[in-house]
Amino acid sequence: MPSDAVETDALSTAFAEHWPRLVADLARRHADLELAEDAVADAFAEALRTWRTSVPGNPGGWLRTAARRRAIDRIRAQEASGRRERAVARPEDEPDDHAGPGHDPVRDQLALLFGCCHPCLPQESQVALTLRSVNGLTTADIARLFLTSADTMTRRLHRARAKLRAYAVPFRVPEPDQWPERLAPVLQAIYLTFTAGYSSESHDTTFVRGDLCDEARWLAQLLAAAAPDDPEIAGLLALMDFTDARRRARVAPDGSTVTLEDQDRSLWDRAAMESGRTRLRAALRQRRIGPFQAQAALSACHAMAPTWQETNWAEIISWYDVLLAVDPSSVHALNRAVALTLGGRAAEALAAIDGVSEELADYPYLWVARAEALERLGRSAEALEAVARADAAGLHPSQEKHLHRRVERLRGVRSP
Amino acid sequence: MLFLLQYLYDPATQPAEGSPEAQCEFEAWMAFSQEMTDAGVSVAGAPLAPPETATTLRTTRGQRITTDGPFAETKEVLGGFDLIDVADGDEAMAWAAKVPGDGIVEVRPALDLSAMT
Repeated sequence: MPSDAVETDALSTAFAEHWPRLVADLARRHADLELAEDAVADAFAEALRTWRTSVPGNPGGWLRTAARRRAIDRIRAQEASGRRERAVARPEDEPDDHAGPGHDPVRDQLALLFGCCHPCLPQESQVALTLRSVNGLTTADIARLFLTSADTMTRRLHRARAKLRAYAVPFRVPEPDQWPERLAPVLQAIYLTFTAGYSSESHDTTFVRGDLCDEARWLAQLLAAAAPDDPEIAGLLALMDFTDARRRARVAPDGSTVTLEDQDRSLWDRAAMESGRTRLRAALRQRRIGPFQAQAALSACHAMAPTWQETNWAEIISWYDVLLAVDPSSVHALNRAVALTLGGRAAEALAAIDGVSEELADYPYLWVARAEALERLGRSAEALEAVARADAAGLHPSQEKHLHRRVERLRGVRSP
Repeated sequence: MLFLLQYLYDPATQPAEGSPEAQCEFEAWMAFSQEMTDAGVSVAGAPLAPPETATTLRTTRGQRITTDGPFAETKEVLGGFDLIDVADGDEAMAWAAKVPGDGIVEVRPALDLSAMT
């Protein structure tokens, strides 16, 4: 490590700024993500050695030249050892004019994002690979995020890159007619990144996790810049606005999570909510509804309610109908049932919960939702049985406190 | 480059033969097949006779044993395949996403033998 903090700063600034651009540039040129990342890592290692004496005037240009050179070195070594087919036209023949046509760093990063979220990869690999290659997170940090070892994550990333190579994934931005289909997994990966960031902020305050929300937002904005009219990208950004707006209200002074019901709504960030509503309105006007717009609309309904008691459940239920029409998942159906209970339609809720109880039997919230519907119907003995099932299914630690309070209430109903 | 698409289905959840659902699914498959032919990507492909017609030959250290039925006892069985010639994995996955009906599609790139010499 360089002893001088100035060079370390220059290097970490350059890393954050240039890592995704450099990987994207090389992945596009060589259609090989593993090679791209290795070559960029080589370039940074070289920078760590040589920037000790002097930081170049144009760090980005220096790194790009170094990374491209190292990529060619690696290709030659692979060709020589027979691990790679000798290319007829070498990518190095491409003009090295980075200012010229054909080289657009933002487009390269988009192409990299679409490549990392390629439909040939399972969702977990899409998210992990995006965080590694596009966001530049370390493998160790990604492993922590996925609650797995660095070795396991290294192998998973390696498998994912090898698969992209086997499928000859070209790392290009898909044609317009392919966008809707290819965009869906990309948006899902971004949303999972965002969710991982905020759902963990209360009980894990390490830098990488809290920062994930910003990384996700950056990716969504990258997409929005390329397709400003896409209503689902706008829907995702709106959903992130609404979620961010509640950031301060979501964490209690002791660090535990405060559920929506108990949040102090005066702590909500009104400007962020307004931003979400503006984006959502513009998206909905296009009349091309999708799952992220529907979820953002659900968030907007909560944002509009001055108190939990004044929530417009009828409106929320109808947005769940829309969401289920575009994304018929059992979890959404369960959430709709929760809204039915809260909206005073507990009998309907119970029937809806029974409809998904086989599929979601291991999901603790199903049993919590069932307990609450039963409680409303005055069937407290059955409600307590459902609570026991929820406990057995294993609740998230942040939810335990909330559930236990409900259990106390249910027990109180049973034996006053 | 060549990709093999293998279509697997669960016989328990198939629409009854002769039902409107079965007719509808048949037409969807014909349209899908025609679309691949029209796009010039289809190299070979066919729906397969039911799994009970399968014969499995298993050779271990030169000893050959013949059994009835498919080699793997799974809920899903192979119902057909297409071998397609496309530019890259983007195109292959786009075709896989168009496969009609419920079920499983296994996509595999073929090894490029010219790259191995």
